Amino acid sequence: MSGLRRALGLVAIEGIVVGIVALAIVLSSDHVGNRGVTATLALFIGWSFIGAGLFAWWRRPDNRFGVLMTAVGFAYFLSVLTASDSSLLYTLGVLFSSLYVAVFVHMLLAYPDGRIDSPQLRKVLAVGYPLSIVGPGITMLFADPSQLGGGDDEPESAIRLGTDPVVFDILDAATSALAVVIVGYVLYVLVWRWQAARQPQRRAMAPVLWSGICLLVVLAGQLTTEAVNGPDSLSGVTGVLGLLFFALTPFGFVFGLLRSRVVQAGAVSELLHKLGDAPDSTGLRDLLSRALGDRSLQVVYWLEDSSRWVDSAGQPAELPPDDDPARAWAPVEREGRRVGAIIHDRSLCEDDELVRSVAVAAGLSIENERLQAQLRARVEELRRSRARIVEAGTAERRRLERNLHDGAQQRLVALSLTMRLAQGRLRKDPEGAEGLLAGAQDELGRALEELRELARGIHPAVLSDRGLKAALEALAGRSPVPVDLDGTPPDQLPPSVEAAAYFVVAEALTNVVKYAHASQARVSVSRSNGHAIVEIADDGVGGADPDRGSGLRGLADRISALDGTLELSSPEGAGTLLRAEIPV
Amino acid sequence: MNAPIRVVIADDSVLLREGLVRLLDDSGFEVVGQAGDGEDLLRKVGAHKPDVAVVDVRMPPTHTDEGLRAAHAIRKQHPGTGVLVLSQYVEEAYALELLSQSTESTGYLLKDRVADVDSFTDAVRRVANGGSALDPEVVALLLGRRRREDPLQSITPREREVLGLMAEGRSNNAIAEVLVVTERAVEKHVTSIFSKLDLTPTVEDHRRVLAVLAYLRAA
Repeated sequence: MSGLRRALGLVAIEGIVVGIVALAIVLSSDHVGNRGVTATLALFIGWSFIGAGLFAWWRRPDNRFGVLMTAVGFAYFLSVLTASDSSLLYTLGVLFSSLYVAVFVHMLLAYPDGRIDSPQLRKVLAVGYPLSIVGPGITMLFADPSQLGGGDDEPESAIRLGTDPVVFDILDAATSALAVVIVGYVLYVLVWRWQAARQPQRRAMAPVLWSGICLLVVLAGQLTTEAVNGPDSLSGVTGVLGLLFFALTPFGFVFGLLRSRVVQAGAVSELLHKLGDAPDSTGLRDLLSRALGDRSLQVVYWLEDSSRWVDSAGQPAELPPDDDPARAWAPVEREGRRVGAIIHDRSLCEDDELVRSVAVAAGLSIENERLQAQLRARVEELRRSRARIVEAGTAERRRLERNLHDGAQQRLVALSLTMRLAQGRLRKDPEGAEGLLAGAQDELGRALEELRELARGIHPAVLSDRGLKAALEALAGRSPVPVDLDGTPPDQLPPSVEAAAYFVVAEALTNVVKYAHASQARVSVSRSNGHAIVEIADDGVGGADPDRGSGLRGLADRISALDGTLELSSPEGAGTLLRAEIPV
Repeated sequence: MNAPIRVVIADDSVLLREGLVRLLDDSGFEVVGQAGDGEDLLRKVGAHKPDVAVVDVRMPPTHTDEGLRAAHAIRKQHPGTGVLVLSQYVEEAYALELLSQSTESTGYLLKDRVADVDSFTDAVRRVANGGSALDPEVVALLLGRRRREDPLQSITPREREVLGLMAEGRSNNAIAEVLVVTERAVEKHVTSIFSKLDLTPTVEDHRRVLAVLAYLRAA
């Protein structure tokens, strides 16, 4: 840092020395009118650029914008050589009299990050820099001094080849036209950038961009009249106006910088003050949005237990990806723990100091809000699971109705029909009637069996009468795949937990039979740490998909209604383990 | 003797279908086709042009109201074929939907009625001959509706019985048989009912059913 500071100090001293030399040249000039005014103006402009440039250079050493601004100041002093009475220095001064405009355009195009990435703009500069010297060079090579507007006192050109008015006019018009094109294009680029900028960006760009645009407009007008009417028509008014905008640019820059710092400090302290009033979630968002000047700002909260982001309503939220062109996010931490994030306009990344301080200032409020969001997320999850339970209940009723309708009920109707037919035949055709009645007997048996199955599906009687152990033994006994019952289920589980355990086992065994291709299964129900733990394992093909069918999800809802959890582990080819933990 | 009434039966339960076939055969009907779903039914009706189709409401593939939709299609495409819809439950809405356009050659019965062979075959015959048949339970529901300023309160219990039987789609002759009175007596009740309910008397049975149902629904 001190190396940079020393280097910057040296440049500052050089700037002062060069300025004093320029002052001396102007004051001693024979051909410059209003020497005092001209000298003051030259010093003021040159030093403004050098000073502001050095300040920017010092604040952001890796941003070349400061370097460019300093260079504008030095280039401007170079043009002051035109005031010299020495023919050689005068010629040099004229040759470099427009260089500062080229450097200034370079600076504008490189604003605010000091780089020019577009190859097209690089080409513009590659033409612009030589043109800034060739243009005045033509005057020095070919112009008749009497053609120029200046007085007779001006020194002779040191490099005049001849005085051919026609050649001079043609070349001068050509270079002026080219300059008009370049300035017009640069203007277009700047205006386009302004339009493309988003709100926070515009605030930062405004002072420099607008003084630059005004200067270029004046310059373009001046160059156009020059190209059309020749150098004689150079208007004093536009010249003064252009110089004014030019001189304002460094102050615009410093103002922008200061304003952004003042605004930052103000925004953060205002934010801290207002956060003291414990705003609610929308209030918090609005405060942050105002502090950062970003209306699209969002606050999201980190849920540690489920490792996901949610918004203030507890709904799942997503962070913008790193390569998102429009949005970016800043983490909010509290005592080293992540509590949330501020999703903001990407342009605010240039102001990341501000975003960081706002994030720190809002940490406590966001932490509080996070707890709320966590609660809402939990409520939301409960609401969804409750809706699923109701839905599952409805689906279950529909299934029961369908089974009754297509099964037992249908059989009973057919039965009553058969009985009636048998009754009709009893006298005329006793044998036929007997056959019908035998068929009816079978039908009745099947109808009863179906009703029993259905009733068991609704709630197994053995579970209420004989408890979980007997019910599990019955399940195991009916399973086509051999089932080992490990240990004895704990006694005195609440009926809702027993029922849940029973249905977990029933559904799991159904799945084992349907999908697992297992040769055996193992069921265990135990009690540990205040939880009933139900495990069903098989040695089948694995690869079970928890989202397949509604069975497992229905179970998960049933378990979560009891505040429990359901886990499925089913690696391909390595069997399946379903584990439910239900607090008792 | 007349040619037997030709019937197509549609029900996805083979068991019930076969029972129905046997019952109708025994009662002198000719079952010319059986179908397991709505599409099949339409095909068979188109092929056999039966006098009547006996159709289960709920059939594959959706197991909702295929039978009703098939019934509408049959009435539209084959006006010569009557449709008697059988349902496991009393669904007033289904019944009225079915009978709201026209009661001609249309019927809606609870499935359980099939065991009451005489009244079931009577209903099949009525529908096959262009009449209508509405399940007594649906009629009871319609009659039992609570109404504001109920004109039904002004009719006598006997007239109420007659009204119910009319709504079921029975003719004066049949009503007289059920109530064991003379047809003349039934005619008198009918005239009285129509004037009390402010209905225009009609001669044809199915028009009469339509008028009575429209009245019972609207009131």
